[in-house]
Amino acid sequence: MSTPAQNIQDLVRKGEYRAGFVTDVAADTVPPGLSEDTIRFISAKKNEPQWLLDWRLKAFARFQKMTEPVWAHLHYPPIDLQSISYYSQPKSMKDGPKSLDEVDPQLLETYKKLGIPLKEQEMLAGVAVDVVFDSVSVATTFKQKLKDAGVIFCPISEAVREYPELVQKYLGSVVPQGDNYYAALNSAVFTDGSFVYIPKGVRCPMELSTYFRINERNTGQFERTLIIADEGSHVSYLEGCTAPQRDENQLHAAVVELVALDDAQIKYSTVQNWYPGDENGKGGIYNFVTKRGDCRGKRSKISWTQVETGSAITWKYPSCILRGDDSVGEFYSVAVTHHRQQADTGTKMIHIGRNTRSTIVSKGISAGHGQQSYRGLVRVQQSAENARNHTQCDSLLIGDACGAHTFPYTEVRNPTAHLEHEATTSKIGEDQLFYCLSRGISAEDAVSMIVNGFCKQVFKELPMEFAVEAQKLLSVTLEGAVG
Amino acid sequence: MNMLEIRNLHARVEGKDILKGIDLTIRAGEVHAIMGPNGSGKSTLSNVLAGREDYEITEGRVTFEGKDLLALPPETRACEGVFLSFQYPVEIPGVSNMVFLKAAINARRKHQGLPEIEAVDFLAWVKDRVKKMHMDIKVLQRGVNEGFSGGEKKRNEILQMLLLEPRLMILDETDSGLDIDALKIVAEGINTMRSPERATLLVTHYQRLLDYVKPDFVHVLAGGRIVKSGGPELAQELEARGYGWLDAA
Amino acid sequence: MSLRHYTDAFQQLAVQLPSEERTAREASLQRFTQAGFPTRKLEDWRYTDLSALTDQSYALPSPATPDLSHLHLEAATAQIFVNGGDGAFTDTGREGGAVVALNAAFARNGLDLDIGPGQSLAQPLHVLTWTGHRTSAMTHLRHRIRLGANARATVIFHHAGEGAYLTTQVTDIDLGPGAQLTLYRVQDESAGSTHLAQSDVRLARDSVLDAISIDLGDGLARHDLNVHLDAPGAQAGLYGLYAPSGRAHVDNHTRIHHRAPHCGSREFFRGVVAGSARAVFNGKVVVHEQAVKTDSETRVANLLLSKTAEVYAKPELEIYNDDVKCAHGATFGQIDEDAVYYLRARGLEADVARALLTQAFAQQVIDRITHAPLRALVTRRFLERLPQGAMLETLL
Ligand SMILES: Nc1ncnc2c1ncn2[C@@H]1O[C@H](COP(=O)(O)OP(=O)(O)OP(=O)(O)O)[C@@H](O)[C@H]1O
Ligand SMILES: [Mg+2]
Repeated sequence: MSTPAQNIQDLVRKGEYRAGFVTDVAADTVPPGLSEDTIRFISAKKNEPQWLLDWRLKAFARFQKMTEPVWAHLHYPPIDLQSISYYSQPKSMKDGPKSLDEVDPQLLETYKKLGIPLKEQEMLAGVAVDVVFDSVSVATTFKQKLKDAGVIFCPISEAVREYPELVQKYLGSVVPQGDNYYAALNSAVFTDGSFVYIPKGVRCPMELSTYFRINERNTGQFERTLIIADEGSHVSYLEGCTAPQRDENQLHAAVVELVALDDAQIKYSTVQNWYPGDENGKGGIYNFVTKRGDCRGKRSKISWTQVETGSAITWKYPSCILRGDDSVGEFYSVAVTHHRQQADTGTKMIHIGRNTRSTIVSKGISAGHGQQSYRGLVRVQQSAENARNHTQCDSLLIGDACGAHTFPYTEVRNPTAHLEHEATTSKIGEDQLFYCLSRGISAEDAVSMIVNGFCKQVFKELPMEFAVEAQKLLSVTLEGAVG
Repeated sequence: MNMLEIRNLHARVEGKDILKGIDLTIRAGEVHAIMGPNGSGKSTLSNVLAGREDYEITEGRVTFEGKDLLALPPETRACEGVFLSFQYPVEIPGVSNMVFLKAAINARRKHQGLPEIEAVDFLAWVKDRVKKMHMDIKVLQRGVNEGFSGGEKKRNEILQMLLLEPRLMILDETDSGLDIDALKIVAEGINTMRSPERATLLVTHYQRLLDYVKPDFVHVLAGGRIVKSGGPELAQELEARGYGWLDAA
Repeated sequence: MSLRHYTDAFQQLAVQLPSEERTAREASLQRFTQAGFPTRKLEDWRYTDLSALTDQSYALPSPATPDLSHLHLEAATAQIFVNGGDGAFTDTGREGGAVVALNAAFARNGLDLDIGPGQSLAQPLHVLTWTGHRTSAMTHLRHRIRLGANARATVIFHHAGEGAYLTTQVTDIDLGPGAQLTLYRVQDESAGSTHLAQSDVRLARDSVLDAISIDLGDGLARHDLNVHLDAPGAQAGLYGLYAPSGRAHVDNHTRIHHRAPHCGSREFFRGVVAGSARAVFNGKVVVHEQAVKTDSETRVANLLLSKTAEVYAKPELEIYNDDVKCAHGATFGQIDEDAVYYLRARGLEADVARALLTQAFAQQVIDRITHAPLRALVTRRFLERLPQGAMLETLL
């Protein structure tokens, strides 16, 4: 007879990465290597103005003086930055598609497999999608409709050409070039990403969305996203990420910068499903991402929601700088590590303005040999009268070989602050499981129910369509772990 | 002399006007009941009289025994003899009831120029009043209101009142949440305090307390104003007909 | 970087030592000079910077006979170490970081307590260390406590002094099966002091540690308390109150290692931070792979009393095992203004009300002290540093 604990283990089957196919398109990829020449090549390839090339080179100079951070609770062999190719472009993209009809049907097929049928989406009003395939942006739907509302949503390389003053004003203003090792690398070699500008008082008429996909072997992806919400505007943005199943590790080092001016609100949701590697830890994406939002204006609000199920290594701390008085920062996260996945993720809430509020809800699930760390910082500066923070940080453990760690830093320099931090770690309760079983619910369903219940607080923050997707993704990811 | 005079009192909280011109005069020896729908401003009035700082007085004036009450900090009002029985008494973990009561009594005595109370006298006196309120003597060791049930908290408020012997007793829904036995005990407590030198302001929703503590006057507070005043029969009418008919009137 | 003054002082000491011991201590000194004082670059020292000590000059202390009657504790057996005491130098090194290495280079023997199986101490042992010197001096003490199976003891470490000085205290504690130790630590060092302490406690099967740490000192104090739950059924309760004011800096680092099944740990710290003081709390619980059925809880609560007070807290969990129940919580805030209003409505002056609430907040730790004279001493010292505290003394 098996104990309930064994039952959970018995449910462990090999999860299959559903986005792990390779699209067979001819690609234009630069040879591996990182040097000033690589940067000049990327810049030239993208017809960039001189100021941007200079900006990149400056970042590269900074980068060369920096060393890889080691403080995270992560173990991986050194990354050889010289073996990565820093630019890859599907051949058929050379002249750039003018509309969706010109997009390589094979690419469209790829996205369809990923569950993003662009064409269909264009019919269904709702979500505007920008797609980044390896290094270039492939298609942006709904351009017209957004244009009518005054919203700019385009690849950042296009924004550099069309709206240079906006890009120049805000690029690097939230995440400075030398902020950290990976941000500096990204600043030097970033290839594409999305640019969003919501003008004053505009409520973006639809969800904006970007899908990132790494396709080529040995390429890195270094996208850069910049979102500016001008006074009184609102926007909800979703990004999704996938990569093919490959034996070697691929590097992804993105930078996302958000700026919210007075009374603006940005909701940024991520469903990250990069290839996590196989159950022995072979392959998978190294995901080193810097995401930061600047609540620059009074009463502004930035809300991060993330569902992190992929990547071999995740190093990611979407943060909020609460500069404006009465501004609000939120972080809702579900992270799953399974097999040999490792994640060191969390957030930073920097309270600078008066009456600033922040909420952190982090749900970590570890299964197999997964190792997961929550790392958070809540800082209340002396100027931040009446700051409020509530942090809830829970870990669920499945199987006795995994790990869950919590490193919450709190720094308080103002007596009017009121902060609460709660953290719990537990395994799926045998009694919970037994209760479900005794009501005739299968063990798989029971675990899935329990896990979903555990994550509910976060899922409810996701836009509706994506909440459903996230839930599915979670059960697929844990298929290897619990059923 | 009038004990309490409220003239054209206006108060607001967080930018919202709650009291919009209250006029009320209470003489020593009288019992006034204030009734009114939820959110009409009854607790606001009680707290403004006790000196809660969250409320901004935008107009009007209040005198207590000839003194400008609004100019005094809450502790001075308490020492002068104003007592508020809180609608929601605060829990103070770690501060024992005993320490708390002693501190309050001595603060009052100091204000009156009296020496601190002798420990032995204090204990005997407190024990006696605890018994009167049918409370367990053990509560004295517990934190103030810490883990008390709703009814226990209300009884504890009255206990404090018995010990502090105020002259103006403002009882904000002290009867809410009490079973019938507790209600009788509380009413008894209030009645032992009734005297020609003391006045009572009873905030309540129910006639049943007024069966035990007979008011001289009943006022209806609605929308931040006293919209009707009368004798004890008004309370009965309100109980029977609710507040709706007042709008029509 | 120059640690010259430390090496100079060591030379003075070394001439008194037999050659074998000198060699051992030289090795410790070398470990110390190689590492240097920890700086904020080290994660464990992120909020406490000792680099200023590097160029400080501290003399080897000379004997003194101060009047310590005000530190006397009733119902306890006193053992007093003035200016490092006159114990022998028998330490021959010990694993550890720079502070431990520095201690190992210089340390005299402090408390050496060995209680046989089934024995117990008749009354608590009051170990008072006191440092005070005409010039800045440094004292280094090594303490050891060993309790045999089912032995019981209560030990009170009490650290005080006058003027400017550096003191290090390294304590090793071994609890045999079923042994029970109540360990108090009252850090009440002077404003000019630097107090660096490390205590390591190893717990055998079913042994119980209750450690209550009270930081009232005005200088810079750091205590690393490492607890090793090495065998099934061991239980540790760590309680602490830190109440720095003025320019004091107090840093408590606790590390609880769960290495065996069915062990429990409770951690409950409270901070009252006033003036321009800084408080650091880092409570780490590590649950190792084999430590199934671990039950652990950490709570830290902080009250900030002034605009210039700072608190840094990090209650960490590191868990390598799925059969555990672990929780931690941290809160930061000021006094509940509703409670202040309630007290004022009963006639208490605002600052008395605040003092009373502050004292009640701290009392929840102070009440853990079961030794009545010590509890009275701590209460008195705590109230002394509270505005309006004197007022409360008559009440309590
Ligand atoms: N501190 C506060 N902040 C914001 N609004 C408040 C505050 N205190 C009272 N109010 C509002 O003021 C109005 C009057 O409240 P009050 O408590 O005086 O009513 P009440 O007559 O006592 O009601 P009840 O019968 O429910 O006790 C309500 O709308 C209430 O929400
Ligand atoms: Mg009310």
